[in-house]
Amino acid sequence: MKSNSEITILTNSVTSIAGHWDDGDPFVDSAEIKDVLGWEIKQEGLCKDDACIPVNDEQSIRHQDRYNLRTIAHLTGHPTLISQELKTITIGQPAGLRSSALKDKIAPDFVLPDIEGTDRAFSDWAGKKRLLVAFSSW
Amino acid sequence: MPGWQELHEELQEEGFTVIAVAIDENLDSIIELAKGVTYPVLMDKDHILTELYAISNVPSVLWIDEDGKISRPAASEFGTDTFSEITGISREGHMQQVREWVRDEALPEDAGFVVDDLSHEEIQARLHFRLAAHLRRNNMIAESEKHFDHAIELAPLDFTIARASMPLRGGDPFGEEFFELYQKYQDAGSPFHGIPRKS
Repeated sequence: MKSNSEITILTNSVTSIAGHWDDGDPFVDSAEIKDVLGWEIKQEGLCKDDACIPVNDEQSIRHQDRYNLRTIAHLTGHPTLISQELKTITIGQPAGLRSSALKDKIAPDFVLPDIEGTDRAFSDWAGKKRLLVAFSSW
Repeated sequence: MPGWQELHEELQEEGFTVIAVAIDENLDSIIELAKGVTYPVLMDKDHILTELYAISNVPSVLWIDEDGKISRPAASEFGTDTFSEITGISREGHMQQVREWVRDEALPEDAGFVVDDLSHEEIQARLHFRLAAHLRRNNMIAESEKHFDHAIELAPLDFTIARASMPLRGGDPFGEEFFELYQKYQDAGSPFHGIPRKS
């Protein structure tokens, strides 16, 4: 069943966009795919920078003029959690970034606000040796 | 935080900085903890770091070099000796290793340890936690509770899930429920994504 609705997307931020649900999956415009995941839909497949993931059956990711956000998230290595009841998809970090951290010791970059609310990238301190301390008040 | 501050001050002129990331959404508490701190303190209310780096408890400390290579993976290290009687971990051994890394590029034997990846359940638990925290911020309490429960079912011994959810659900992360969790964790052999303790 197709139903038009707002879709809430939880990634590293929260966005609400127009889309529709079909058979339990959220479908959105191609521009939103790029905004949310950073991957662009092209002739060659799904592309980011110089890399492209071929998509053999375009019908498997498209429905009319919109694209299946869950399928494309999975193709690009992101885990997802869907709540159709809440019209929400939660999209996690690409698994490849974590496995290159654990196996190849490449530290994934991230952007988070400091306690004054200013966004900072971990790579802002590249060139220094960094002691990364995960802590909490709990 | 004061212990890391001392280390930061001692080594900051030698191409070193501490960067602290609060796996937490309680900004007021973090500002209080960060009093007197001059190194960067970042807020990670959605626990992005626990997914990117496979972190399952705090404190978890990683060493990352000038080029973005992880010189030593996550380990449970403390800035102070407040909990050393309980944890058996004293701060000075680690701090001396950090000095030797910064000054002489020397790495301890355990630096090459490979931390286990997150399981499918631990990844899904993080997504349920993130959704629950979002719902709670939007006052959808019943729905939020459901997803906190899912998260804990999937990763019952992960402190960034089970303990971090306590204050968000009106519980006490230093009370009875924490001690119950800690007992279950110890009974299970203290599973932790990071360098295991020798002791």
